[in-house]
Amino acid sequence: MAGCAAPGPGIPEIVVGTASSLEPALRAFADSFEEEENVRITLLPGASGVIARQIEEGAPIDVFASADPAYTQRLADGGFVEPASVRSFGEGRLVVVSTFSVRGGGDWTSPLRSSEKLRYVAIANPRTAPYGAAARDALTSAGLWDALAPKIVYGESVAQVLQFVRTGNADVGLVARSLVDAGLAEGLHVADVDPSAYRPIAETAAVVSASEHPLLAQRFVDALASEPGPAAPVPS
Amino acid sequence: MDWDALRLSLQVGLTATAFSVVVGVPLAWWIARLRPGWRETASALVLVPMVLPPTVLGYYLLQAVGRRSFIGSALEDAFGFSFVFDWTGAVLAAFVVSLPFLVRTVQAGFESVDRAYEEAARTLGRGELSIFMTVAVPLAWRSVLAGVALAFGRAVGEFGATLMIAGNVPGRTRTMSIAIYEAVQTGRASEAQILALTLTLATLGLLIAVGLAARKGVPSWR
Amino acid sequence: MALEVAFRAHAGSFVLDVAFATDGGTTAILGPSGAGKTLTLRAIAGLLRPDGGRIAVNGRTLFDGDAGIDVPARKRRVGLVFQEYALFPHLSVADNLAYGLRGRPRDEADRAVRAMVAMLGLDGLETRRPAELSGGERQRVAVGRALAPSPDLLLLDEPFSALDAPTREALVADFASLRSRLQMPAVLVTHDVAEAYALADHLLVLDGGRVLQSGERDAVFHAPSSPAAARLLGVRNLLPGVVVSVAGGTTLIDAGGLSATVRLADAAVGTQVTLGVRAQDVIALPAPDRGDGAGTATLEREVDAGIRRTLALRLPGGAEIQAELDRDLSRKLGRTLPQRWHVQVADDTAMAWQGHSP
Repeated sequence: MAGCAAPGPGIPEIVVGTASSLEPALRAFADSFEEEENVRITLLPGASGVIARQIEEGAPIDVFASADPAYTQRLADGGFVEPASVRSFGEGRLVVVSTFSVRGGGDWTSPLRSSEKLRYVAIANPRTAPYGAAARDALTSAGLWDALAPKIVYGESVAQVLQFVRTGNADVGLVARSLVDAGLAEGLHVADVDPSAYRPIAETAAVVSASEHPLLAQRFVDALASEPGPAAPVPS
Repeated sequence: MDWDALRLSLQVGLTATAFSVVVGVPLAWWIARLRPGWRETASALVLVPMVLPPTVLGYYLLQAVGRRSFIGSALEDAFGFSFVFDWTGAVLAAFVVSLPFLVRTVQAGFESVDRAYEEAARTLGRGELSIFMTVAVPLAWRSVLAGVALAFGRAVGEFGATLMIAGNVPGRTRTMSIAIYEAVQTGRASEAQILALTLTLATLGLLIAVGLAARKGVPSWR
Repeated sequence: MALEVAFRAHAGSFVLDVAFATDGGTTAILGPSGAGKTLTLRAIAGLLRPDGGRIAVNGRTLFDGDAGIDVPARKRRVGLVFQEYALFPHLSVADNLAYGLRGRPRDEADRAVRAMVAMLGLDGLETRRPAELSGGERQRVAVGRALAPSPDLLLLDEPFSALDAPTREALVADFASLRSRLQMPAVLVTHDVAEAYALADHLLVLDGGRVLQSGERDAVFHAPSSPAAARLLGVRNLLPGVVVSVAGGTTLIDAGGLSATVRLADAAVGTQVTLGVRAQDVIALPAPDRGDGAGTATLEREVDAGIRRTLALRLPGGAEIQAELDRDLSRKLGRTLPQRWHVQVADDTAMAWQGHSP
């Protein structure tokens, strides 16, 4: 699945297994990196848990990029990524997207309190996606979790959560800011979740131990970390 | 052990299979008796859900019964009902993917039954429904059971389209296949193993029961 | 008229055009395979939709192309016995017999089933499945199943063809006596002349989808309307001949050394005709060998079927004819047959048609 698009002769290929939430940001970065270096970058988006599992099973992936440091840690402990190669390159932010606006504005919890308009609240699966766990923490600290529990549905990733809301099948969703920044939430109402309501989501990248191009992969990871890219929090 | 997921899988699988039988067996009979040409066309149409990727099917289902769709919004306005994120959505997905398996198998059974039996029944005063129940189904009985078994197996195993239309809601739409996927994904290998084994044994048990029923004989409705 | 049939139908490129009428009794449709016999039954039963025409039983119209009437098979009250019987393999004999009785009161249906069992000698077989029956028993169940609902018309498609010879003879006899007790008209399809003659009051000769001849049994059997009908009615000797004399309403014909007198209107001396004689109507007697061989036929071969012995004889004119050897004579002659034979035709058995048949 990774090596489907065969690179041209002589041009090395770096396969980046990335969390879906990071894909839009990484794609822009990968394009500029490809231009600077003579390399081809292939993005392999998916749930962090699935990609971590694939790396453990020996999938031909060179770089692991995740919004959940726990997975990076698990891979480092198992010797599947180089511990010394781990870099943090940004901090993910959680937003509330909704199909409707709340009159008079209010804070980020307003759409979640307009009970008559609310049938389903979509979050990423907290067991497998860091934004899911963050969403659960945020709703819990806002005192909404128990009341909303019957309305909560899980998406496999924030990308699917956003798709649920965009198609109107869910009324409200909690997703990564990066998806909104990449223009994927057009037509939806967006509100930033209070950052104190959840633990920050550290975005990390690491070189896979089995990579055939460890130096090139490391250059990619380092460049990513030094870039104040779109994945980084927008100063307010 | 996620008993909810097992209960839900069986509930979804059996309900979807029941719908497949009610819709699929008469449909198979209808197709089996179409004129050549029309028959091949109808067979191909029925096969479509079998060859489409489950995600495409899930996408179509969302288009068809999603909350913004014509059907979906009408159902929600009238009854407050929605397939999306509901176990009935999982049933719908499982029904759509299992129907072709049932229809193809049962259709082949009907096609192998000599038309003379049906014609004899007609000259003896029986209408189409009566012929269907007393002649067609009993004479294609083994194929019907084989179709039921295949449809059930496919319904219980349904994953992709279910995930898209019903999502992953613990206790409501998290079936065994989804629970297994999640367990593998989060590295809970032993849990995945137990779930997979349980699902295998439960399905196997049902298939053996169907096989024994087939051996026991043909219904002699008159 | 008890039965009026006149319709055109097609199956693929095969065209069927059938017309006949009877005032009851049994009609046998006789013809080779592919003549359209089964299709005719299917059209009457409502399993094949004619392109046009009319079918009526006891004055009740079942199909009328012009009037747009097409009574569905299930409402025609026409019983059909299928060639391979089509007994429901998953049902017992009793359930097969009762299949056409649904909707009737329970006791009435039971009575009808018991009556069929008694009439057809199926006692003790009620709980068996068709697979556990002999061929003859199956045939009787099939007849009983068709008769149980008391149809207005009974159709039988080669009902004896799937049986072995002894069973067949017994069942033909049984059926003949059964028929005499039944009121409704029946149509029987067969390719066996003897079976048709034994069971039918009327004969219909069908070939290539067309009726060659139809009418009262003996009229058809003894006076086929054409050489083609004669062949299907079991006339094996069809010979080119010529009228040699006409006197007092009888016409003398010579067919290459075989002479016969027939009644043939408007036949002048010298007219070319086809002479038809059944094998059993040719009298063959050993001829003393005088060396010249004039007026005698030569033995080509013999077929000894045990119950009858048929000779193939070469006439002086070159044609070959078949003759059944008289049983007494056969016994007297033993195994070795003479080479030379006198042949003549039994009185009032020869037939003739103008022109030479191909």
